[in-house]
Amino acid sequence: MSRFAVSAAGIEVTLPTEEVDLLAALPRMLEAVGEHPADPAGPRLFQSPYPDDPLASVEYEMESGARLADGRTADREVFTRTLPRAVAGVLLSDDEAEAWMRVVGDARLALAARLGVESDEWESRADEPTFAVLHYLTFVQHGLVEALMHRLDH
Amino acid sequence: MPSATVAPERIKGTEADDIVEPDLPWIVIVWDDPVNLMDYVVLVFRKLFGYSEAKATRLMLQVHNEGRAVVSSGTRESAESDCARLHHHGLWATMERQS
Repeated sequence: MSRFAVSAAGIEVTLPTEEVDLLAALPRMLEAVGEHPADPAGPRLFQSPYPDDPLASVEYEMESGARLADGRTADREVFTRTLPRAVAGVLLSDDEAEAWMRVVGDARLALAARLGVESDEWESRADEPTFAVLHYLTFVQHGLVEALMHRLDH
Repeated sequence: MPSATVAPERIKGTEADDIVEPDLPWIVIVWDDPVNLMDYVVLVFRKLFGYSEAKATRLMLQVHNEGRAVVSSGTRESAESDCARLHHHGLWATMERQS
């Protein structure tokens, strides 16, 4: 089964129901990031370009924070709207596939932060249940990146 | 006290508040992280900055091997915008004034 098929029209994503069900949980998981101060995913997804300057960080957050939040909300809406159709196969535009890529990417970062991943050693531990979801999301991410790269080159 | 001389009019353009500090370039730095995929980082550099595959790959490898790479530079405003777009794509990005 080819989950990510590239054509002249776009990227056709076809996923088993079980995988669609798993991915459907991502938007809610991401919405909750930052709600709990102790969540290590918070600092990873809400960064400052000025890590050593608290004042500039606050100003940046005021100026750019809402735009970033809007962008993420729009990504999650595209993802939630198109994902259920992937059971039968859904044709995504490049923009829609990029929205998927960012949702899956944020989920990978959030999950890795919560698992305490600090080196790329996790890549060689595919057989450990702890890292199973991270590996599955990596597989999806890789498929999307490959498809988008192919579209960019042709 | 009378004075024969008339106080000169303020000459425009010499006051301190007329001196504009040059807008020194800011650099945007992407840092290595253990989660983002190498091909993903290349794609993001190509999409966000319009870099060629060769340049995007070179920058990605610099991030991977050296821990960081300067990916763009410009005014403070444009550097903040680049950081925000990189953050939207989950890349670890900071900016600093070029010394």
